[in-house]
Amino acid sequence: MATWAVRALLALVVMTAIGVSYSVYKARQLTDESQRLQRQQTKLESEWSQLLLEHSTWGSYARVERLAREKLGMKLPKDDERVLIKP
Amino acid sequence: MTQARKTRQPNHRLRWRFVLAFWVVCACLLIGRAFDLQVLQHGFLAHQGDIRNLRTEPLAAHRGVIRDRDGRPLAVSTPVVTLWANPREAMEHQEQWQRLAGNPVIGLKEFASKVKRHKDREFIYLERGLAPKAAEKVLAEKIPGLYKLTEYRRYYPAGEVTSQVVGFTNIDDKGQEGIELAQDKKLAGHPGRKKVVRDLLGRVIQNIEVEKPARPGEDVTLSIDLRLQYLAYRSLLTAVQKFRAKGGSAVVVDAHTGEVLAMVNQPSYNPNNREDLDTSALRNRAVTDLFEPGSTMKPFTVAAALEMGMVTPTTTINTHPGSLRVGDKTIHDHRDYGVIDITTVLTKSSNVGASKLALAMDPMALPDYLERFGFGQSTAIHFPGESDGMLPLRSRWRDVERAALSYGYGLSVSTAQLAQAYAVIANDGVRLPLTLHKVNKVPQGEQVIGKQTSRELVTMLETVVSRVGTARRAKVPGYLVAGKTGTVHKVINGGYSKDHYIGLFAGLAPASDPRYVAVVVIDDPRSDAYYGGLVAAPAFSRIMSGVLRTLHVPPDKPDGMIASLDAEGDRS
Repeated sequence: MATWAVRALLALVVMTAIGVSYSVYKARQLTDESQRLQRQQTKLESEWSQLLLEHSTWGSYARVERLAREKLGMKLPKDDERVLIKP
Repeated sequence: MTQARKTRQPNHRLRWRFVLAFWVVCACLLIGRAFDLQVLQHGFLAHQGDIRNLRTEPLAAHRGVIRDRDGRPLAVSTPVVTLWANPREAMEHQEQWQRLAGNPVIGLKEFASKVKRHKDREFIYLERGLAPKAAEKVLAEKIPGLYKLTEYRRYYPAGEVTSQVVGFTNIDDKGQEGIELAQDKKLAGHPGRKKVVRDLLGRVIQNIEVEKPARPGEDVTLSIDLRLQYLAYRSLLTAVQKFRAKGGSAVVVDAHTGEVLAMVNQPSYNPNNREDLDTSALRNRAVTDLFEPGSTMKPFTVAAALEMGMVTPTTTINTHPGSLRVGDKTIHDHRDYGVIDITTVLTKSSNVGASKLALAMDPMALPDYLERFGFGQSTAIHFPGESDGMLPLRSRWRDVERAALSYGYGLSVSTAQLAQAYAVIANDGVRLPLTLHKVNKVPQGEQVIGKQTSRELVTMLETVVSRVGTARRAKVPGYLVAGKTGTVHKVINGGYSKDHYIGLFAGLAPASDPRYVAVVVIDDPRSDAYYGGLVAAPAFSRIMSGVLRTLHVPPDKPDGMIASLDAEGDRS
């Protein structure tokens, strides 16, 4: 009886020991993954801010106006060129 | 054999004891050592172990973004890479430099000359503030002794158009001017720290604890509309250049909410490149610089007279002979307007008329009304360096002081204050706190003058922009515009200068249902033209027509200005 219990406990101890090392291994893997994702987030954030700047540089009103006037030959309609449509 | 056995017997026991003793000594040594390590030196060793594996890492936190009312970025923090080199280390691997040949960011020649010039140093900057992608091109070559450093830089996409309002930060990312300074607490990011365990390869394998959580800065949304800001900036710049003025400012306010839609100044500067910066360009003149408002103050004199029931818009007043002697000073009009009604006092900007109104009032009445319009107190925008303006509060008023006040001398105001006061007229007499931040819920205002009075004022001010008024150039095709010009002598060395002026125009539109207020101030125009109606009114017209068009305000005076559908049909 006693030896049986001891053996069973021993088996359990071994099993939990393996379980512990496995979960530690898993935890480290997940930590690494989360670190990687955090790094990616930082990278994406910095890319986002770069794109935001690029966007506002290309889309700056001064530039858009210049292109509209010079490249596309656009102009503000004169007063007598406008038509007012009443709803 | 027996001899051998005999000798072997004691030997056997001896050997046994010897071996036993050996093992006991070994065990003792081991236990002793273990005791030494586990107990005596535990603290030291555990610490050393932690040093090798445990790391405290910074958690980055960005500074918040400043945006305009529609979310367009006005100030953005972005990581930049600084490349630096250790020349001593680099000099040992000169054969590898070849890989930099033809590199678009740092070429071989540049690298070699910089490194060789400082070959005894251990740190030199190669290139600061590079975009990460550009830096990567250099780093990919893996030149020994070439390293990178990540820093943050603040960029201002709108550049000089928003410079004084947005302000800028210093190298430590602390706000120095403008909104960057005023809202520094909210914008600032607070970097945190965390403890981690790293393995042999430097990978983080366990997060121990976050010692201090990172708190990124909050975004700030301004009431500024970048489209109008750009428009106002360009119009002001044109006016300042055309009339060779020393400076100027313009403010556009939404009178229904108290929001500042545009606030621009000349001269300006590019906040992204502040190397040779003229410090006078730093000031947000619209809130820091004071001037005597001159004739733009007359509507408030008339407002007080209307409120007190002294006059109606059609009450007549005798301004003959075009001058009025008050105390030892004579007040002049441009010419003798004769007997005119109150509306014409504004239309023609009669100093005599305004003075007579003021002198007929109780001495404390006019200053009291001016105070209600917000003069002499800081506005609610809480801008760094804001001036309160000066509204004299005396117990005894001399007649000449009372008269001067009626046409805008003897007090000083800022462009923002003037805009705030005209917004009261535009908002049916309700004064709202001026703000640079986007308003979601319009605050409870203060009824300063009656709705009827403010309506009458608007109608009277419309005549100023008519053919007979002083500001024909302020008109906006298709819309009814109301406003008032002002031309004041600058105070130089404590006295009024004879040939230095400030030309201003304050106005509102659409006059049939006033909503937008714009004030333009042109400081010291050096051209022949200096009247507010000549230098400031055209800029006002350009700004206001842009505002009305951009914000989709339907024209309230379309006839004659805009082709009707029939006319279009006739032409085709």
